[in-house]
Amino acid sequence: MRGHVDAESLALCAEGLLSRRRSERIRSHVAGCPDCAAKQARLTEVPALLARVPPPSVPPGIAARLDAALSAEAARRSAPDPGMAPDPATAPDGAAPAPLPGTVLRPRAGHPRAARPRVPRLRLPVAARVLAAAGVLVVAGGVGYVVAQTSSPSSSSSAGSNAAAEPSAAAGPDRPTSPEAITPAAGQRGSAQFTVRRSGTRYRRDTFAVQAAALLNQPSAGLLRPGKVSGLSRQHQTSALVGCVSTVAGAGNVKLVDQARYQGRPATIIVVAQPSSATATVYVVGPQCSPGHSDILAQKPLPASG
Amino acid sequence: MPGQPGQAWPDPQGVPQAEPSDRDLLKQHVQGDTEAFGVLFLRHRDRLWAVALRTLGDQEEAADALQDAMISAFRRAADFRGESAVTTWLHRIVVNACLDRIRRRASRPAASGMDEQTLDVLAQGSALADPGIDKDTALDVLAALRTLAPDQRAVLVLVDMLGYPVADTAEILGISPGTVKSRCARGRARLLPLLAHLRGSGPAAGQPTSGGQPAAGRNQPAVPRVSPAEGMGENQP
Repeated sequence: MRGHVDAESLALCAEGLLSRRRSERIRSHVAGCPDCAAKQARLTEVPALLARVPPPSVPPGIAARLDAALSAEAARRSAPDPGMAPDPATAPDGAAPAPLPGTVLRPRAGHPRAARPRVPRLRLPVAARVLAAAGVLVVAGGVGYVVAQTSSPSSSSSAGSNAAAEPSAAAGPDRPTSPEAITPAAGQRGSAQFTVRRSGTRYRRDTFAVQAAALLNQPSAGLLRPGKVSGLSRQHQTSALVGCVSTVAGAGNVKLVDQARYQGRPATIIVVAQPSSATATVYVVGPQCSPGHSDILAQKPLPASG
Repeated sequence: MPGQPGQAWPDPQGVPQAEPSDRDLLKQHVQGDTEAFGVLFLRHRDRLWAVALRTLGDQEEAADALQDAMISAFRRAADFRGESAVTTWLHRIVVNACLDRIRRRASRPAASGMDEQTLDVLAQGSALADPGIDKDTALDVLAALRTLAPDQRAVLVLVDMLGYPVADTAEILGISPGTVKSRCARGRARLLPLLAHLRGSGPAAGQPTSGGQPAAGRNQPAVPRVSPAEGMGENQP
């Protein structure tokens, strides 16, 4: 073979896609040609390099959006027409999926609407729509807490969660905290109300308290739109979250719940104000946070905003 | 550090034991179960997202494509024939949704390059949990990947980047294994000049590889990976 072998031929040869004669010619050339041997070596590094790019994780805003779309689709399927209801005869009880922790599965017998569990479900399509129209999606967990998803005109950017990232850099001058976002639910014994945000903030060990304070100054940053909190995973998350927040907050007032990242890992940042004093605390809790187990990774006093 | 790196919580893999199979879930969904599809989708969501994002190279478009695919799978579940694995079927729907978007995009004026922020998001991944590559290198690789024709890119994303076997990739894309291999080969050859400067730029860095180098990991699963640093052979306890 005269002249060097081009990269494509080398690559095709390596995949065994060339004729035997051609392959043999290429191999014998490469064996005696340092340039082509080096090229071949570099070629084998290309797939290795591609494999080393880490797989992306699903950004929380997009996960929420997918959940919302799935819930809407599920509601569309089951809501309007009883004729579209599943045939119970074809759904053997034994085929019920294993329940996820914290998930209440609907009894399968009979009409799908016949028997509802006592705990209100996130995915009641009608109720969700009514509440979504009202701008608030209220969810009762098992522990007497209420989550409110507060609508915000500027929350439309929440899907691109990174738009609101790094509030420590983006924080504007003082703005009032949205009052309805943290108002305790009136008349609910032992209940608090909090707004879940997914600001996309990447909290860091040395700055998380400042970052949380900055986010508090941006009442609308990272808010989810009503109806976004639905779907199976969200329901699961929400019940765990409610228990988690209640465990962390105790008797305090919850000022911020931000599902974001801390030191590169998923974490929830919770700011709790102590009613007895003027102070507040920033907690970082890990994914294991649940009723009775706070999984606090870090905590600091909330710096005074200024 | 506890837990799986880079997993959003709750981790679907953290759900203990006795899970229904993909097929069971799909069947339950077709029979009207309201939860089954969500469980099924969540089980595969991260990988499907990786496929969509790497194939499209744009977060918003990837989200749109994945959402379209998800709804399409939800509605077309009854059409699933059971000839392939459910996961293959899901991947096929996602990849087709992505390629459809690329074709539609091609008929529009050329989309401008990605802005810094998008690139940032693209490279982010679980980078902190995987020291195998630095961010700049990841950005360069992703930018190079974007120069490929969509068909080549889709194959390289599946086979080289995400570690799908050739046979599975062929089934996902509805092409022969030979075509998968030739697209891989041509794609790698096209990437070669674009990535040449990155050679050995992992944290273990630098030494030019020559003879005796192990064959690069074609068709190896992308996860779990051994970072080059760990691969240097000094980490055996």
